[in-house]
Amino acid sequence: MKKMTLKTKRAIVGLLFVSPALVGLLTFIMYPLIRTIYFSFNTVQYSVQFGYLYQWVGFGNYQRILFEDIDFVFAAQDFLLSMFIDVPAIISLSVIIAMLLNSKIKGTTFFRIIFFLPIIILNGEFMNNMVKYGSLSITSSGFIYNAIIKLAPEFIVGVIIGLFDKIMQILWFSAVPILIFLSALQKIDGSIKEAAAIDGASRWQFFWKVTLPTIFPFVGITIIYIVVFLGNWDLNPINQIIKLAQNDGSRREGYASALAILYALLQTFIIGTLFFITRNKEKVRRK
Amino acid sequence: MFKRLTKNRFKYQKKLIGNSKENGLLYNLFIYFLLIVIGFVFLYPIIYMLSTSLMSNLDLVNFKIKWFPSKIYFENYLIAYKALALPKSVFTTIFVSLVATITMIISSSLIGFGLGRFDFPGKKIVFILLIFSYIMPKTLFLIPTYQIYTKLKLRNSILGLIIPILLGQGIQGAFFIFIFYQFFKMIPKDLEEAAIIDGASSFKFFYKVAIKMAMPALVIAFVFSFSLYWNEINLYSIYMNGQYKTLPMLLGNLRDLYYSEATGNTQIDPNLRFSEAKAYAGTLISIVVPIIIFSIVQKWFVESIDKSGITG
Repeated sequence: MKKMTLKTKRAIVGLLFVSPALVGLLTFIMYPLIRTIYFSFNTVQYSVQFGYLYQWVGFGNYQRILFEDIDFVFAAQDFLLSMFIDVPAIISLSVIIAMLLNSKIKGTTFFRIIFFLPIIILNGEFMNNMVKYGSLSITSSGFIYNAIIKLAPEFIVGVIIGLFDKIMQILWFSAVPILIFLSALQKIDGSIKEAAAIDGASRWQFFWKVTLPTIFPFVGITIIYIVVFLGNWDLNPINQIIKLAQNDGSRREGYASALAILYALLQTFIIGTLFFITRNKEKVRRK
Repeated sequence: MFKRLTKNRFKYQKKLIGNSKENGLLYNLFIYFLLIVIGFVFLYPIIYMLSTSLMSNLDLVNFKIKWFPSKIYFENYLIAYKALALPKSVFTTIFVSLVATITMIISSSLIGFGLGRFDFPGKKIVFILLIFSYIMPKTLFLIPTYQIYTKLKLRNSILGLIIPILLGQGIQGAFFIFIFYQFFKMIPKDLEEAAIIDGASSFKFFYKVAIKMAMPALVIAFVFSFSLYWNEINLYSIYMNGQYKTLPMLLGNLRDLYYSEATGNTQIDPNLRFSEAKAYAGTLISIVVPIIIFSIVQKWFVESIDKSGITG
């Protein structure tokens, strides 16, 4: 047998490690994805008697979504805009909170548990119950709402309450990013801190020279997570549009499939753009 | 004189604000203040639910009572306990969530290791496909996924839980792969080369060195995957035939379950009617176990660093 170069050998070993994912993509993703793409070019009717009936319409569904109906186009614009505000806000907030949770103070165990609560809460029945009976927002309870009305001048009450609600919302979405950054911070051990202190580095310098470069590689994953989470969240209006279209008499699966594909492309675009922006910064910082 | 002044200034600065090695008093107070204020946002719904869940239905409609029930009313919990089929359902949910989480850690760490440490043709395509599988809205995948589960005969056994996860297609599977990918990528090349020169195979390097250095990733995977599988409903009820009656699944039907459990005439005694107090009691019961798991697992964060002794 011919002797393999080290490079090909390593490529084969790498493929072996990744092979379960390849099989998984082929068995669990290929079929649904191709089916969705095929559906999106058809008008699909389902009846118990005949099963699925297809009628090829080409780009008809896409044309209808983009140029005739307005609901998706508007919701998509909203989503796009809010992502470019929310993602940086969530990331910076969670970096700050992760640093707070990583500082050497008493009771971090207690605080960590509290800050991880949203991870359980946001993903389940808890959330549904909260939304159903309305206990998610502090402002809706009247307690803080009243305080704001009493303290703030009239003309900015609306702004403050809006801002307050926005911050609270963002806080709720920060739990997993906090978890990611907190674990990234674990890579900074005591000896680096000591060395920095001996060299006379201030807290500020330490943040820019040690903390930030350690965290930075994890920003990419966090971007993907936030965009996908907010994108596929039950309360996201676009998901409601897709669900409604699925059951709407004149639209059905074909139209909904086209919606889903457009939506996935939009999210890919957002993630790509955010990746690009953060990558540029990394290069500047290296200089 | 001037020298002494500056010296004193530094001394106080150190005591109040601290330096990069030690925290000062003011600095600590500031941290506590922030943590408490932000923490309150997360605690608020829990406190609200707790106080509501201890109210009788009469207290609920009494608008004079907002936070403190007139009398602590434990009935809600007793009823929820019965309706949710505790303690059996808790053990079932712990069982499936643990099996899923462990499988998730094994598969995503192996796949993440392959992506993070090796170069092979088509790696970028695998990445894009993984991201796309993660992004795609899942509502449209419901029917085809159901068909696949049926075809592969996964629906009647625990394999329906394990096999998709093993193949990197568990709930948010791509996310866990990316997390491990990032941690493995950050391990210095020298370390792996040294291990290979010492005669270790790639797999040995993986489980002897790399996995220990990716301990924080393991913590993320454990915490997040556990709570995802704890809360999952569709997977258990639709894809897996409802063979495992998990707690959140029962919680979704609490209202119906409650009426089959409650005895007495709801027309006469208003306290017997279903209300949010009962829903909240059930909800709070359902999050106790994940919270306990959190408090255990988060301790690994600090320990992991001390044990590995090497940083990447």
